[in-house]
Amino acid sequence: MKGQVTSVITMIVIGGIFIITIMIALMIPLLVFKIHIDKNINIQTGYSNAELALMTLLTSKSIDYTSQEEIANHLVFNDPDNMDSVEERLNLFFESDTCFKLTASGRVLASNYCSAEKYKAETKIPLPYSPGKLTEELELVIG
Amino acid sequence: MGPMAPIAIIIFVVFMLLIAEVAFFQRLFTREQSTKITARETNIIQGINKFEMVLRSLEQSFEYSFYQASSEVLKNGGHTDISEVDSLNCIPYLEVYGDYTSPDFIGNAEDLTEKYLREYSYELMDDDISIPEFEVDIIEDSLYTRFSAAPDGEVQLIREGKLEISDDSVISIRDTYFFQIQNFGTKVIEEGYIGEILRSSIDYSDFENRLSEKEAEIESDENLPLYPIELSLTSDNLISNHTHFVARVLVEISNQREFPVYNYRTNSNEMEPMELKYYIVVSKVPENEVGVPKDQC
Repeated sequence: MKGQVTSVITMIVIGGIFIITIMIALMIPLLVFKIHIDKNINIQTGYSNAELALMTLLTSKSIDYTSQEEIANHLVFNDPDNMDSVEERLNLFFESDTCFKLTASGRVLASNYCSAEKYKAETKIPLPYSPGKLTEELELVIG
Repeated sequence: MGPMAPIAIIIFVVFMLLIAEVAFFQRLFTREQSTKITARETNIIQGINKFEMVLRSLEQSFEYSFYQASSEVLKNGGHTDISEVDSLNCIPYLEVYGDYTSPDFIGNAEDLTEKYLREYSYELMDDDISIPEFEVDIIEDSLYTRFSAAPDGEVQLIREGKLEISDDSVISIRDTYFFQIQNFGTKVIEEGYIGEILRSSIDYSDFENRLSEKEAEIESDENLPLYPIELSLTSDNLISNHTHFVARVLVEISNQREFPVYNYRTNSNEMEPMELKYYIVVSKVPENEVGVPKDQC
């Protein structure tokens, strides 16, 4: 009787280990797959948001100029001498927990002073005519 | 409980696990399909965003090209290159002793705008985006004068054969000053205002007085209230004779709004108003033999 109980317990333990092993073996690839898919979706959504924000920013207009013209004038004439209005608009687009940084050829134009590095949107904007320098690469990083 | 009971439990649990696994896999498979759809949609959205940004940049490039072209044409007295005409201190002589060669202000502004827009287009193109050449034309209607750029083909975005977007819209901008300034400028010459003043003047002082009267008269008769421009007529006498004088009249026509342009004389970007400056030389000396001073701009 005692021997029977021992063998049943042994079988249960072996069975348990067997089940757990199978479970882990089957679940791990699927979990990795799931994480990969979720990450992809987040990246795609993040990039789209960054692009939409950049496009909305560039086409938004103050009294006289679009933000695009304002940025171009700032880069070429330093007029306006700061990008506060652009920063203000970006602050309106994003919630307070979203970091953003707008740069032109590595020069920071607007930022909410936290580290934004996840999603990047880029575009070229035209500058006032100048031989050899007609456009500037603009980059918005959020996240 | 029989001896096979634990085995039956294990088989049951394994079976349940397999069912759960299949269900989970099915869910992931569906999710993967929707991820592919999302990726395709994202590709489309990103393509549209990029295309829209290029179209917006083209409009802005057209404005900058037009500002630059019209500013240069006005500075060069209607020519694309000031060396085509005699000049002094980079101000062209447009009429000397009644000899006037009419520059094609509008045609030259259209050609130069096309040239600059082409330069911008090359900069905006990349592997995805192709931009055709544009033909620039002036459109006049009762309210405004517009400059339009019609593409000779389509602006296109093509991504690996999966996404194709195209647009052949005409871009147009409202010209507020160029047309009016060149109109003023040609009118001053073609209407013969200066010659008329010369004929009715007794001497050089009288000529100067009549000139300033004419300046005020033209400004009030011809100006448009929405886009006011300023006319200035100043003169100097090229010889010392006060009665039989040779007057060089500097005609300056400008607006007040400033535009971002590149100044080739200072080699820098500047905010400048549109400005047309030129000389007219008229003479009371019968034989008209006095030479006018010129230099190389």
